[in-house]
Amino acid sequence: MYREQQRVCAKFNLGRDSVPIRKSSVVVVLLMMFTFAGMSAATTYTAANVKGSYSLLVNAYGGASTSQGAAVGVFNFDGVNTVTGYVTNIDNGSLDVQTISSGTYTVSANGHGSATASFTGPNGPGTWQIAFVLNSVSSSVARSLQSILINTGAGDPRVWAITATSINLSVPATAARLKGTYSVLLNWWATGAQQEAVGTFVFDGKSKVTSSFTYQVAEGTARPRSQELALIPSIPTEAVP
Amino acid sequence: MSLALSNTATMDFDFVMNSATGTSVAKGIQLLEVDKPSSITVATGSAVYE
Repeated sequence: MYREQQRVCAKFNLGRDSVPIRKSSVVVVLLMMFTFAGMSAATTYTAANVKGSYSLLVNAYGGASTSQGAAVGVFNFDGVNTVTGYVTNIDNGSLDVQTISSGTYTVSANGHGSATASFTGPNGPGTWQIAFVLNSVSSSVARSLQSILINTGAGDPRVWAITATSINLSVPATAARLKGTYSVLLNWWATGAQQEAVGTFVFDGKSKVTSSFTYQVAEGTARPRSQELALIPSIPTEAVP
Repeated sequence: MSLALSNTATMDFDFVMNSATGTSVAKGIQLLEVDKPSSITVATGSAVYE
């Protein structure tokens, strides 16, 4: 009996007295400690994790039944609850620049967020209600957001997808910020046959860019093109924080 | 950004750069073709620094 007790118990020395404790109890306590340590380490998010300027690429695709839409732009998040910015927008066959007149956002602890942005522009006012998720949080700031528009409105069959990436400029941009070789993927969002191209841009850091692309159309025909020359008149204001 | 292509066509892009940490070059670009807004086709894309 005494041997049995020795086998299942450990003695903890508390001063002059030794306290026998079952080893199984020690294991249970340790497991609980590890479990709670893991739970407390779970990351939670706030609006402070979405802060600074983010570049946007927006695609509105509705298949063959409607015109396609797209936009690029900049959203500036203040890290609290306000978003400002603008987009260069193509929708229903017209191009305009729309500026946010009023914008708010929130971020839930699980990394999901929502934003409401009211725009003014030459083609009239509009409002985007956006659902997003944080991505690649580094130094407490999300490096990108994956987003969709959730108020596309009755009669609009298109899905709107938005990719936002932190611009992270500490000083205003110049052409020197584009220098070297960039791999490129272009998509033509069409009502009929689709087309894509993959290739490179090579920027000189001043004003010129050359490109080389291979095009692919729906029928599967590849059309290589190369030695194309381009000029960059100026860095657009979208590049400035 | 304006491209004069080898097939005599042209493309004009509006773009935004991103991931330009410190004074380094931008690591990404997002592009929208803006020269044919009335077209039923819209061209967009992204570029990543190699």
